[in-house]
Amino acid sequence: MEHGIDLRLNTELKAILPDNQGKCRAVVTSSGETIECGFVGLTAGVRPNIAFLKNTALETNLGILVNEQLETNLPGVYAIGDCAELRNPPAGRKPIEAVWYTGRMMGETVANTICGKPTSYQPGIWFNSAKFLDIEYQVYGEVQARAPEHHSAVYWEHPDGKKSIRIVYNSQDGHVLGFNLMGVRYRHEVCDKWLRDKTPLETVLQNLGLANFDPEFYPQHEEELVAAYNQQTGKNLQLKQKRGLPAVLQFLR
Amino acid sequence: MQDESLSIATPAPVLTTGKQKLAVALAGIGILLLLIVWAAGTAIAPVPVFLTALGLTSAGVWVFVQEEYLKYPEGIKNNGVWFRSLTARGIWGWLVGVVITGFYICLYWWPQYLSGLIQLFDPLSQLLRGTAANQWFVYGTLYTAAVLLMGIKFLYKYRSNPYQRLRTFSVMFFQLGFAFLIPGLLMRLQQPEIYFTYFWPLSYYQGTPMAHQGYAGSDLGTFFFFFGLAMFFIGTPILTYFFGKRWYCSWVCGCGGLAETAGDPFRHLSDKSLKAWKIERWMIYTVFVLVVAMTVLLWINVATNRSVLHGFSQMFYKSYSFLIGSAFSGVVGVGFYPLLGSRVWCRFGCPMAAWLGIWQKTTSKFRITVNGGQCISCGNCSTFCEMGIDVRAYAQKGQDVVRASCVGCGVCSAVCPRGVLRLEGADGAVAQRFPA
Repeated sequence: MEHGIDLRLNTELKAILPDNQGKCRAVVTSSGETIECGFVGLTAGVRPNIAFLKNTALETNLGILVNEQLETNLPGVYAIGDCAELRNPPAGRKPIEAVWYTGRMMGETVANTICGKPTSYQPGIWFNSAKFLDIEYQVYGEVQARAPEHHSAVYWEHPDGKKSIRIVYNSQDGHVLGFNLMGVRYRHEVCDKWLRDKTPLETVLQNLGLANFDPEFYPQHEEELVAAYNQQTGKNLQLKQKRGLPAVLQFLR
Repeated sequence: MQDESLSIATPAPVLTTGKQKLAVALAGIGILLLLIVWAAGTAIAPVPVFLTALGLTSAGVWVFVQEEYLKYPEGIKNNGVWFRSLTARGIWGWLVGVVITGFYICLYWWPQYLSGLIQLFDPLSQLLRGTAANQWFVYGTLYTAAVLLMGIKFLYKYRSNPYQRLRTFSVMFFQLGFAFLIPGLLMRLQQPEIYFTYFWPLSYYQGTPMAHQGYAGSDLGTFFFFFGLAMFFIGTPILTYFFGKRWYCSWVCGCGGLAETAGDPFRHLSDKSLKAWKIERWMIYTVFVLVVAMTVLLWINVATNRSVLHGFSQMFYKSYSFLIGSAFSGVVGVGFYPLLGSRVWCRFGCPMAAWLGIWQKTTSKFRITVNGGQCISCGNCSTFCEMGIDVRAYAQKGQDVVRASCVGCGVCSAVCPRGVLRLEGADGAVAQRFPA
């Protein structure tokens, strides 16, 4: 009940029950629990709100369809942000990515184009971050809720349940695919380089301190993650690199 | 009142709980006792009154902190700072500003009006220093109490952040030890009253021939005179090269200590405009030039046996002391906390900060780096920068923050909702080596 929120994990909404005036009185969950309520807030993802454009010359699907330069079917008309749907998204990316960072990068792209420097939308390696209920969250690369074939992960969680690190890697050739962090800050440039270079997981683990972006005097949990990997695999990997900017600059050079 | 905000959440949060009102009443009675003694000009039963005032104020702060922070999970909450009268230049802000300003004016120029408070603090002075209290002892004690009590508040507010905890323990330690207990004990031991954490030019007297003569005959005093000079010429450049000016401004200095603790509720009031930055640069380096010129002239005057400058350098000293030493650093510097923010003196006036800033800007490894392209332009960093640095402008561009004024308090990094800023040290900028 921390933050006054009572969570039901791994549970879905099954039904909303009305009272005799047709207003909600309770919800029923997939586990069969009935929860009395006076108000239901449904927040199951976002989708473009483009109904008002349906009968215009703009080509739409789920969102407004755009090409690589974020231009719609009408020359000189661009769509960016949550409403834009890429006709040909870059490899591994979704046609609609309704998050702040893609919106900003699309803005930069179109700004370049309309200022006379035609530019294609190249969002690079996926990343996102947020902060919910005092816990920061970061993701770099591919970390999927339902792991596809050949996606494996090393995972460490702090006993207080407020920090965790998950590194996803390809179980066939061993290169890293993604980072997911709760309550721990990792350095964007370092994770990005590891992902672009398809760095082997063990190289990443040994140098994991390079990625640590937590403030000074914060505990470093990289050794614990390496230990989790050793336990999982029976190996005896050692952390070689601790947190610090000079080593990072060497690495990025 | 009609809700004119388009947000779903109420724009006018409930700011104080019943317990907090009780806490404010407790602390208010404690402070009122001091104000009564101040007004009365004489202290009856100083020991019980002093202890009651201290006890009530401490209890008030403690209950307030419990309600404000400990009821909730760790994580920095600045809820309602722009709505509370005290922290949003409302009537309470002005009232507190006027009272503190009035206190400083009495302290510097009309100490006879503090005779009640001096009597009230006399037993403590006898206990610690073995000598009668004066207005400076009253000031030092209140100052230390403010750093400690508001330091405790700060520690709870920022309890999730080890950097903030350590830094605050440090300023509390240096204030209590080096700016209160040690000078007091030195007096008891018939030694000069030395504040080891204040050097020339912040402590402008320390570099003068008067200080040098005053310490003559005291080994400790002579040591401190040269220690202060060494800290200025050698210690400051070296320490600032490695750590930035924060080694002093937000970890050791007493002015910084008060700003970081008692001033924390007002940190968002600093002016972030480009104009303020321009004024800052003119003012702080002007003060630096003035203090250097003043000190040099005083020494020339001594060397030439007053034959060239006559009384000029002394007059210069007195003017500096009045305008900068008292009016600026004390009256405006602290009295105006609730109006201009907590670092007015540190930002616009302090010659030590100017000197540290020159080294920080030109040679230091210290910088605040930005994590890739992850700034969301929320502006928390700029809002809570007590030095008025528009941190967001750097974060948006992915540019290292290298600024003469940054005291390295680390609050921008602490309040960033996406963990985008980090205080660290290296030669060269991330952005230059790895363009995004």
